[in-house]
This record gives sequence, C-alpha cells and structure tokens, in this order.
Amino acid sequence: MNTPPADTSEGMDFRVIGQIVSASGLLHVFPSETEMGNFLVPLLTGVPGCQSTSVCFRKLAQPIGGVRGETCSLCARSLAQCSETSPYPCGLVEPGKVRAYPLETAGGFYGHLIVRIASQREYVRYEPFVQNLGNALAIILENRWQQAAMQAAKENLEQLVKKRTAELGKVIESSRDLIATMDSDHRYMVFNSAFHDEFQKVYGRDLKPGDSMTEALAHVPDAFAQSWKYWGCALAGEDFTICQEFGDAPLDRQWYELHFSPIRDSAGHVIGAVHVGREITERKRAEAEMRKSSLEIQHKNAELERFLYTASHDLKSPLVTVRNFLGYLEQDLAAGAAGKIAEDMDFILGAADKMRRLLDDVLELARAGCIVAPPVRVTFRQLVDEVLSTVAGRIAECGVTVTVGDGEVVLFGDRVRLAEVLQNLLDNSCKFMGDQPAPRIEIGFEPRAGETVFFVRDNGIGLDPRHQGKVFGLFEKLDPRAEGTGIGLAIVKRIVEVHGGRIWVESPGVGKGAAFFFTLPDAVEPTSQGEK
Amino acid sequence: MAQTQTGSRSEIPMTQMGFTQETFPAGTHMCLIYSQEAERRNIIGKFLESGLLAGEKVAYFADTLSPDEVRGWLRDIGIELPDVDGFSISDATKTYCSSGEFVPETMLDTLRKFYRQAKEEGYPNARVSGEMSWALKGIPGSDRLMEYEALINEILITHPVTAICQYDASRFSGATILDVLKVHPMMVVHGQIVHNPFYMRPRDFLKDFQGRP
Repeated sequence: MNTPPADTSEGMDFRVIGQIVSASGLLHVFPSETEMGNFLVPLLTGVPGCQSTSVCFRKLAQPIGGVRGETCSLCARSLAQCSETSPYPCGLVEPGKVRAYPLETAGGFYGHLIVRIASQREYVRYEPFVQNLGNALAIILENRWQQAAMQAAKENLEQLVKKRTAELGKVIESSRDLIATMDSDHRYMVFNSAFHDEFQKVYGRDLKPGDSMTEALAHVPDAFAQSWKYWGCALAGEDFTICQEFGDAPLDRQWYELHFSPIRDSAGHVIGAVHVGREITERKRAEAEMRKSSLEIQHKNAELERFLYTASHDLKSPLVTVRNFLGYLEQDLAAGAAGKIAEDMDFILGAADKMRRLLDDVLELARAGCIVAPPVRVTFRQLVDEVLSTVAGRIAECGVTVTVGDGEVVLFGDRVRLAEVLQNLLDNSCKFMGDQPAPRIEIGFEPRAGETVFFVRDNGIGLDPRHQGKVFGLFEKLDPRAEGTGIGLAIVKRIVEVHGGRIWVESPGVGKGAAFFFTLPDAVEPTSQGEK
Repeated sequence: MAQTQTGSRSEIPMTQMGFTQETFPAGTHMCLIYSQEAERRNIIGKFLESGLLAGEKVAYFADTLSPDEVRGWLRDIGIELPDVDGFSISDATKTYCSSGEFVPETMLDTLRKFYRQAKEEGYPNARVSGEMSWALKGIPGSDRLMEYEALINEILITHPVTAICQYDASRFSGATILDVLKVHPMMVVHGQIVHNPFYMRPRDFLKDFQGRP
C-alpha cells in the first residue's frame, strides 16, 4: 500500500513565502549589489529554520551577512580561489548545516547565497523559495552585468569614434584641398576651412554644416545647376574626376581638378558623397609651358640637325679643295713648276678663307639665338634710321631708293639684334636687285589679323615661288654666284624667332621683286600696336 | 459620495489612485520604493492628479525638487494644477521637522490636523505624498522615522489620509528598505498596489525595532 505523500505545506508560514516571492520583485530597485545584500540578509535570516545568511558577490571583495569563518572560506580567501563553476564555494564544510546557492545563469557565475541552517526540518519547507530568490537575483545580476558590459562597449566605441572623427577632422582640416561631404538630401555635412573659405569667396555664402545646396546656391543658378549635376552623379553612385576652369577675368581664372565619389554604408547603399577639389592652375600652366618647350626643342633639334648636316657638308667642300691642291702642290714642287706652285697656294688659301668665313658665320648664327643685350624701348622709325645710316654706303653704291612707311610702333627688345634683322634684309634686297634700272626698297609695317607685320619690299630679281621656303636655310644660296655664304637670312630667322615671331617671303615670281614679312610679338609694345 | 466620519473603518469611502484601475479605501498607507525617477514621477503625478480630480485636499512634501520645480514637472507630464487652496506643495524638511528636529508625535499631529481641516473645509477626502530623502540629512530625530511610519498606521484608522511615502532605493540602505516594507501595509510595485507581506502590526514592529541592539 502506497503511503500518501506528506503534506509539505503543513506548518508553513505563507507570509514568509509571500515575503520571499515579493523580494524577487523588489530586488531590481536596488542599484547596488551591496544594498541588495543588505536587504536580503535580514530577510532570509527571518526565514524559519535559518540561523544566519550571507550573500557573496563575485564583484565585491567582502561578503555581506553573517555566515563566517569555518563554514565558507569564500569569505576568507580571495575570490579568485573559488571555483566559478562549483555548485558550492570551495572549503565549505559542515554539509547539511550550510546551504550555498550559486548565483548562476547560463551566462555566468555571480556569487553565492549562503544560509546556515538552525533547523533542517523547518528550513526545508522554504528552501525551494529561497533557491528561486537566488535564481531571480542571478538573472538581475546577469542583466546588469550585460547592460554594464554593453554600456562599456558603447562608451569605448563612442570614444573610438570620437577619437577617429577628431583625427579625420584634423587630416581633412590640414588639407589644402577643398573637401566636403553631402548627404543624400543634398545638404553639406562635413567640410574643411579650405572649402568653406573658397565657397565664401566664390559664392559669398558663409556655409554651415547641414546647409542645403538648394538654398546655399539659390542666388547663382548656373553654379547651382552644375553642382547639382556633379553631386547628383556622385549620389547616384558614380566615381569621377573632372577638370574645370573658374573665374571671370582672364587673370583670375583658375583651374580645379574636382573629384566626386559616393559614400556607401556597410550594405553598399549610397548614403552621401564626397568632393575633393584641388587647385591645379600652376600645374596647367606648367603643362602648357612644357608642351611649348617640347615643340621648341623638337623644332630646334630639327634645325640643329639641318645645321649640322649643312655645316659639315659645306665645310667639307673647302677641305676637299685643300687636300686636292696639297697633292698638286707636292707634284708641282717635285717638278719644280714655280708658276703652278703659286696657283696651288692661291687655291689652298682661298679654300682656307672660305672655311674661316663659314666658321665665322656659324658662330654668328649661334650668337643670333641669344639675347646679348637687355631689352630697351625703341621706336621702329629710330631703328630704321639707325640701320639706314649703317648701310648708307651699300645703298648708295647700288643706287637704291629707300622709302619708309608712315606710322610708328614702339619696340621693346634687344636693339642690336632687331637692327641686325633690318640690316640683313636691306643687304639681301640690295644684293638681289639684279639689273633693275630703278632699284627701290620699301620698309614699313601694317596690321594684319590683329598683329603688327613688318616688311622689307624690293623690286629686285624676286624668286620662284617654289624656292620661297628655302631662302631661310643655312648656307642656302639660290644663286650660287651670289656673294656671301648664305647665312644672312638664317640669322634673321633666328633673331625673329627668339622674339617670338615668324618670317616669310612673298614674291610674284622671278623678276618681279620680293617682300620679306616678319612679326615680333614679344617685342611690340601692345599699347603702340598698329599705330598708323 | 459617501460621507465620512472618523472612528469607523466601515464608513471609509473608496478612492482612485490614478495610476491603477483598482479603488482603495481612503487612508491607505503605501510605500513607493523606486530607483527610476521617471517611474516615480509618472506614478506620483497620476496620484496627485486623481486626488485633485476627485476634489480631495492634496498636499505634497518635496525634498529633491523645489515646489516650483514640482509644478514644472507636473506640467511637463500634462498635469495642470489648479491654483486653489486644495493643493499645496511644501518643503519636506520644514514639514516633517518644523522645529528643526524630527518628532514623530508632532508630525502625526500635523496629519491629524490636515485631515480635520480638510473635512472642515468640505473636502471629501485628503491625500498626501512625501519624498522621504529628507531623513538622510542627519537631522536630529530622523532615526525615529520608522517609528513614525509604524504609528501613522494607527492614526490613519481615525484620520484616513491616503498616503504614498517615496523611498529612493539608490539612497536608502537595503536594510532600511526592508524596515520600510514592514511599516507600510501596501506597497507600489511595478505601478500596482499590492498587499505587503512584510507588513507588521505597529506594536509588533516597534517591539522588534526598539529591541534591536
């Protein structure tokens, strides 16, 4: 026959049970573990059959309550010595007289609730409720520790974000580039002083974080339309770089390289855009200069190549003469032909003279590429008068009538070289007058397509249009019988080019005269241009 | 509304607390043990408002806030306090320790007078709520607070002033809170009023309290 189970509620004080149950609901109001302990210890000590109680919290160095000494070494030793997973504190003796309930959850171990039992018979009725109270306490502790850990992690993260943001801010601020970010609602969010100051300078607005682009650029519709387009592309996910010129006055115009790129969140969605603008005016100028220099170098290299070819070719010719006649001289000396010896010597000396002249001319040409004197201001008329007085003998000898056009233009350049241009051209015209019964040379200038074009026109022998491009070549002589080495026009061309100009010849044909035109853009003072 | 006479609990009317649907007899003595200020303000605000709506005489004893700050807080949560004699906010320390020290008998007498005055002025009921942190200031006699809290339960039988005593669990010790529970027959837990299993009859509590080492 089965014995009916004992009525465990017999003799129980339900008020005590109510207190223990209520305590579970009240524990959460105590912010500190110490006060939880101070509340629980007298409460549990009042449970029938209980002699004394302690609460040991892992976080606290000392336990709270009255269970001491031989019963719980957790209280006496360091907490590190107590097994965190043990159901009872290490060193706990007198089993049966002391209960130690671990304050433990799946997430961790937080301490012990320790009860010294005075009457096992009485206490056993309430033990499940005490155990439940311990469980409730453990859950509260776990929640708090988790919240504290989360709070600490959050604070750490916030500190880190703050630190990184400050560092990034310093980097952005220290940049000379114009850096700005915009959110997806077209609001300027983060920008550095460089961007702010330039924005203020160009658009006259004191930009503040959060300002809408629509409002900030409302007064400049064109700039707004352009900015809207660029930022819009970046906000649509495009990453691109453009070069753009800003500013109205030619001298104020500045080049900028603008880079736009989208800002994405961890899922890849565009949440804003960033702009980095860099002033590249100097770079652009340098690039243009470099291109110009490169062309000049190419041009000069080609010219040097031609020069070397021509010089070596022309210098070779008298050398051959010298060599040949040295052979003849040797033979004639052996034969004792005195008349022939003198003839041989004349050829050799003639060839040597020619070589000297050629070399002098080469040196002169090389010098023509250099500005020898500092630039001075001189009128065209003054220059012409100076040259005419220099070549007066030659002009008189040739019987040439020289006329100088009206008007005046002021030149600013190497006076000696500029005079050399006119002198060579006058000399050239005199040289190629041919049989002209009324030789005439006209000197002047005229405006053509916005520039001042100088000319020296004659009614001499002229030249075949097919040869017009060759006349400025080194040692180039259309008429081999003509005096000189053929270097004069090459020198003229070099001087004109040094002054940024160009030179060309126009002739209706052989026997119909020729006109040499040239420009000197670097030497003509803009204010005097085309004054007639 | 039933007329109230002193001396018999059976004649005591029921009253609303504002923060719970249940009605309770006038003269209910409750403790609110809290650690969240927002929770306290919500419960006490509704408690005061419901008393005013019921036309009761209401008094509030403020300690952490000035009377003006209390009015501001109540206004912030949407409670407009009528500028009438029926509502007063006073400094808790001055109210509980009018002579510069805390004498339970004096304060109990003040409560009796408050109730009598309310009845004489025609109010159907009276209610009070006090912030009890004044007792942590070391004012002479403040160690007799629990004695007062126990004795008030006997006074409220004949002078049924509905009362909520506010105890901040972050400022009072756990042991004191356990005593607070022993002297309030009802307690407010999670916004609900519940019978307090810790409650001891005043004479039992006083015997235990005075017998402590």
